Parts: sequence; structure tokens; C-alpha cells
Amino acid sequence: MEKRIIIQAPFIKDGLVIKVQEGTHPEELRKAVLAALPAEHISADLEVFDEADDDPDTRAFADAEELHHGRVVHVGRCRLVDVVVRYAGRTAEQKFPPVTRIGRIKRWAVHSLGINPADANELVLQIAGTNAQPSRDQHVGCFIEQDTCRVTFDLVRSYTVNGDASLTSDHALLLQHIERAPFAMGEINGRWKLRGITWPYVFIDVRARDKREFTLRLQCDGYPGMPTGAFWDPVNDTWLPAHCWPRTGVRFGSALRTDWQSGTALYIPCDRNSIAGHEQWLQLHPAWAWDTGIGIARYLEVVWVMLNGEDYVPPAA
Amino acid sequence: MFPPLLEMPRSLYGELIADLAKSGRGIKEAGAFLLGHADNRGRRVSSYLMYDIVATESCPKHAYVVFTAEEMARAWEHCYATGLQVVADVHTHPMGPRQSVSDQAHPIVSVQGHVALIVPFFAMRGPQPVDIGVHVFEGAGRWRSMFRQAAHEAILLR
Repeated sequence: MEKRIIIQAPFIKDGLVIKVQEGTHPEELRKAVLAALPAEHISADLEVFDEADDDPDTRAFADAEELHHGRVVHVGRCRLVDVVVRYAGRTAEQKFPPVTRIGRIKRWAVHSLGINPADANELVLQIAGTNAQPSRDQHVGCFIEQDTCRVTFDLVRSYTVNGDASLTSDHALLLQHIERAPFAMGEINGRWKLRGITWPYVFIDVRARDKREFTLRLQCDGYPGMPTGAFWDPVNDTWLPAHCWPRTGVRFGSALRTDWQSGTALYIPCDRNSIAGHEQWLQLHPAWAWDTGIGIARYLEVVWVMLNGEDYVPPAA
Repeated sequence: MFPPLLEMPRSLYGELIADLAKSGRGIKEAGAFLLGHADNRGRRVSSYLMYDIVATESCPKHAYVVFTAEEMARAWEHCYATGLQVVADVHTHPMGPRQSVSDQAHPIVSVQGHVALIVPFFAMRGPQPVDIGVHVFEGAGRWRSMFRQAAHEAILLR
């Protein structure tokens, strides 16, 4: 009656199955194993290791291994493999027979590094410097670094997610709009650039015709409803003083008046603190009306147009 | 009164908060491995490694913190090269400093006593330790959380 033998080696990581007669003498078995190897890998210093001759000290970490002589063998040159497992700046190191399975190495590492086995389910051993993650049944001897008897693993979570997706709906929608084409086009073309968000305030630098950048602080709670805001001094973290505001000529009327709302809101149809009581603006300047589909890019477009017109006047300061 | 869980130079804390805010810009979460040494006297932070330095593929794709195994291994490689341990981790949240379900399910370091900090409002409001959530991993999926005065006392800025 025949039985199957699985051979693993650094050059046969996935294993090779051969069949021998039940009760074959160990020396005959060894010869059969070596004879089955690819010719280009055969050399006089190769040794055959049997899983059943494992390291008894780490048997407690065995992972569903059935240790029967002549069932799974390893072929290699290293009698012991120096195993290093790295984890968040800690290391575990020990020598193992090359025939030791990766599953056992992982359990030993988890224990040595002080990790509760219940927290180790998603941790995997990955060969350092690669994205290779050997399976639990592969022998550690398959992964020795070239011309050494050493292997270094990183113990890593296969996929890590941290974070909190629970934004308020107005904040979440504003973030969506920042990713959309109307806003992105302005950024790509250098018309404006997001400086940052300290919700509900959004800070955006708008570039003027002379390449000066003016920071807008827009209060966006209730988005996609209209925001409100004006020019901001990011250095001193306050509203931009009136003498530092840009000016426009007759074409845009008094849109950049500094006395309106004490300089905290632009006098334009898409500012919520300015449109109230000025509903006639929607007929006079429909292109400047708030559009929830376009969102914040509409406000920025209006400001950019004013700062890039022929009648734009930079501040004296 | 208990000894602090985490010690950090005040200047380093300031740099860390500034980098978290700069990385997230108020629109996405950011984080860092806090590196240093730990012993029975506590955890001392001497440097940090921003997540966007190691998670170069994942960070641009997500508004929250994501690591592939390969990206996390880069951090371990950095630790090995510098001789430093991950003594804590920190990441920002859009709102409060409490842990999310994924924060609890995925400790950055699954060793009992590991400290995870959560900085509210994307670190954009000049947070002090009293504003931060301090979460201590107790093993087997359990955490102990501290807020306000307890958080203030858990983080010592020198």
C-alpha cells in the first residue's frame, strides 16, 4: 500500500508530493525524497528533516500539526534557523528546526511578544522587506535569507482601519463638494486653494490678478445652504483689517465694502448674511446666486472673478 | 493621583499637533506612531512617525486611517532601524475623542497597556491633553478610556 509524503524546501516552498510504499525504511525514504528533487537543486550538503523530529520545547504552540514520521519532510542545509519576529519595535528571537511550521512560529511569537491569543487572529507573519505572507503549514526553513540560516518576519495586521466616519451631514457634504469638479478645477487651475477646515469654518486662499492670495473664512454650517464669510488674516487669526482688503471698481459696485457687517460678510448674493433683504439681487445678478449643486465653488468663483477683473485694485498695505 | 501614562517633551507635542493638523487639513483624519521607550516607570515619547509617511498608498485614498500589512511593516522596519518602540499611537477624529468601532477592533499594537490617543476636530483647534481621548488597551479586545482631567493627568508634557 502506498502513502503520500510531502516535501518542502527553500526551492519547493509550496511542497512536492511523492508516493512511497508503506513501511519503507527511513534510509530508503530519505533516498526517495532526494531523488524526487529537481536536479538543479541537488547537492551533497542537503539534509532531510522530518516534522516528527520537531522542537519539543515549542510543541505547545503547534497549530493542528499531526506529527507522524514520514508524512511531511523538509529538505535544506540549515539544521537550525535563527528566527526574528519584529513587532512595533519589540523583537522575539529563537532558533527553530527548519521543519517547524509557520503556524507554530506565529503562536510562539504572539506568546513571546505578550499578545493575548484572542487579539492575534488578524495578525500575520510577513517576511521582512516583502509582502509575502507564508501560510501556516509552510516550513520556516523555506524562507531563509539567501546563504544564511536566518529569517526575519514582521508581525502585522493584514488590514488596519482606524477612524470615525460620523461627520455631521453638512460637514460631510462640504467634504464631498471639495472633491467634486467645480472646486477641484479651481484648485488645479490655481484660482484657489484649500487652506484647511476647522468646522464649521473653511479657509480658502483665492488668488488675485497680481498673484496675491487672499484668505476667505467661510462659515459653512447648514451646508449645502449658503455660507457666509469674508477675508481673513491667517497670521493673526482674525478678520482682515479694512485697509488690507482688495478693492473693485464700478463693475462690481460695492461688493467688497468693508463696512458691511463690520467686514465679516461679503456683500454678494451668495452670502447668507447679505442676501437677506436683497432678494432683488437674484434678478440682477443671477450668475452670482447660490447654487446648491455647485456649492462652495460658486462663492469662490464670484470672489475670484472680482479679484481678477480689470478694475481690481490691490490693497495699499 | 497616578503617575502619567505617557511623557512627551512639550515642544514635540506642539510639533505633533501641528503635523496632524497639516496632514489632515481639517478634511481627513491623520495619525502617527509615537516612538520611544517603555518600562515599568512609564512610556516616554521621543519622536513620532506620521502615518502618511509610511501609508503612502492608503492615506491618499481614505479620509480615515488605513494601513495595509506592507505599510505597517514599513513602520516596524523604522522601529528596528532606530531602536525605538511604538509606545503609543495617535489619530484625529472629525468630532469627539471617543473610540469608534474600528478603533476598538484594530489596536495599532495589540499588547496590553498600549496607549491610543484620539485628538478631536482634526487637531485644528489647538488641542491640549485635556481635550484628548486616552485609551489604554487591556487585551482581549477590552479598552479603558480617560477623558478631560484624567486625560490631562495621563499625559505629562515636560
